[in-house]
Amino acid sequence: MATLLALDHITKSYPMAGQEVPVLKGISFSVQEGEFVTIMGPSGSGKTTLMHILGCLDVPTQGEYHFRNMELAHLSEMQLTRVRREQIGFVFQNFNLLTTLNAVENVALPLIYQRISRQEQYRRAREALARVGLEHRLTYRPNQMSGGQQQRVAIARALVTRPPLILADEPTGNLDSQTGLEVLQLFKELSQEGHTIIMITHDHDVAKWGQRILEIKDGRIVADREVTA
Amino acid sequence: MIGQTLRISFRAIWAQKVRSILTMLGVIIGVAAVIALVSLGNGAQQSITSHIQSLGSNLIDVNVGYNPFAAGAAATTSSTPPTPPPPLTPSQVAQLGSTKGIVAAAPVMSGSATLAVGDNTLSSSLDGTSSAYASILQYHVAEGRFLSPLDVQAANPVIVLGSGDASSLFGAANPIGDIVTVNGIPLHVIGVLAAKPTSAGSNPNDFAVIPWTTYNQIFGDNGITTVDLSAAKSANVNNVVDRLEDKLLNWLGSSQDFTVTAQSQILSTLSAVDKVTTYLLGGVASISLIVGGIGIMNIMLVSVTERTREIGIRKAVGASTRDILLQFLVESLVLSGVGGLIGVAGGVAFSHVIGQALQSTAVVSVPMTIVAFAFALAVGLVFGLWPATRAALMRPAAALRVD
Ligand SMILES: Nc1ncnc2c1ncn2[C@@H]1O[C@H](COP(=O)(O)OP(=O)(O)O)[C@@H](O)[C@H]1O
Ligand SMILES: [Mg+2]
Repeated sequence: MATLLALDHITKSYPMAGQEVPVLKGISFSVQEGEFVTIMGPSGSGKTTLMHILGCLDVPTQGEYHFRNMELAHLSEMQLTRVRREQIGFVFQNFNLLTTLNAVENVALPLIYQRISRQEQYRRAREALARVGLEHRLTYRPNQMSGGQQQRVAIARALVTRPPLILADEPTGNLDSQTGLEVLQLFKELSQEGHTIIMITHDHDVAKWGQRILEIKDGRIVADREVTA
Repeated sequence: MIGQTLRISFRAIWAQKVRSILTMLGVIIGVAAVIALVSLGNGAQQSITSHIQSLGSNLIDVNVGYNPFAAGAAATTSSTPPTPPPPLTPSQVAQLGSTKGIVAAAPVMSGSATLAVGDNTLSSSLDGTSSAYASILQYHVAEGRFLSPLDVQAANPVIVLGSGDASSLFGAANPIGDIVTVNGIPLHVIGVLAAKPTSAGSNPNDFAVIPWTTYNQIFGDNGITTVDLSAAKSANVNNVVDRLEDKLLNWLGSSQDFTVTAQSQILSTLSAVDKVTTYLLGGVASISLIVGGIGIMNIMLVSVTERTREIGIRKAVGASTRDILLQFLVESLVLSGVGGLIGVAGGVAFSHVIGQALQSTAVVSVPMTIVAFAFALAVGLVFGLWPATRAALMRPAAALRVD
């Protein structure tokens, strides 16, 4: 199987009170196409920071980031935007839907920025919503839906551009355990359909849903193991 | 894409209806004020112009009499009034009339008199003049005839009525051949003048005309101090005025003893003054448009801060710096554009209401309206630029961490 991405000694520090505070201290790992990887670590260990770098929402202080045949670590903002737009789908802990838009419009949002015709946007958005089982909630606003439904809308939004990589940052963190299980089941199905997924969590039980667990602690990868079923 | 950007902007504005309307208010008031003030200024200018033109735009007035403000005159410090200059003689009037570029001249004596037909009396202005008067002041005869040179020579007891006086004294009846007494002296009505359109503040039809010689018999001979002249259409009025002034200076010896006024010069001066006033008013009003723009900027900055997370989300799903810049610029343009449109409607309506209240015509200038609207858009663009840039340059990771 082909390597989708590889991090090589990635570091990230934030300036704080005139000093550079290191958050990621040399992260190296690679992910194969079609893998379902979970990154597990305690709060404050740098998981979100890592996800922002993986998702081209931020750039590392040092190190190299190979994605397919591109080197992303030192791209301009414009180039990073293109990678985000075409290669990555995001799912966040707090759903991050736009409250003024209904379900289809939220799902169609990434397609607006791909300059696709409106009919095509909506056709694809409806299709993605059907995939997550929400074809009957097309015109619902986020505040008219349960947390589990909102997260499924967010997953549909991540799927709608058919990206090579889906990044999820604590996708079950704001959900009760039953709803959380449903969302995890959905991720598992997506993985079985061939999507590459990197899911971040602080919860060992959640991490077990992946095929492989990377443990992060204090800005370093401390373990990398396959999940045995 | 631009269609969807517009839709997004309208939605964002709609989501904050009250705030958006309050924000637009500055632009609405600014645009409305510019349009209303300029329209009223234009209206005033047109009514002044048409009033003066109704007097005859080739009209030149010569007045003999002490004029301390005459151009080029040495300032006098003496407090005793100087002796008045002698009046003009009929032959001097004729010489003024034969000046190059002048086609007609008529002495004019003006006063008021009591006109009566039986018990029906009327206090009216009365001019004593000659036959050239009608053509100089562009009056047409509706009934009968105007004064003839013979009437003047013989001091005939005849009178020509303005249309206003004719209807006041005779109603609908034809007055030709009837007798009107002027301060008790009976005169034959030989003609009635056609009505001129009335304009704000004056009525050019409420008066009567008699031969100046007859006028002197009734009121006593005070000499000719006013001459109305008509310049040829092709003549350069400034040169004609110079020639008249040369003659008068020659006769009277001092430039302080007469005044030559060309209607066209007054006209151009007045309309220039009025134009300046109009644009000054428009300029002052456009300051309020700029203030409106600052209001837009203020609200857009608040909006950008409030919507930091939205910006982060949009960037995460693929919006570029340009997409975000465009979105917020369009939003501020929509605010100023919608405000501008409402302002145009308000300004036009307001000018009509005020125009009617002041009984002057408000002339809505279409180019000015377009300029005001374009200015509103420009204000939206300029004052939207900073907030939009701030939004566009937000780092997505940082924007997403804001809660
Ligand atoms: N913009 C920032 N400036 C300074 N420190 C930051 C910033 N973002 C995150 N951090 C710090 O980096 C560390 C890791 O944060 P984060 O990646 O959010 O951890 P996690 O997602 O694992 O809880 C935390 O100590 C946090 O305070
Ligand atoms: Mg986190």
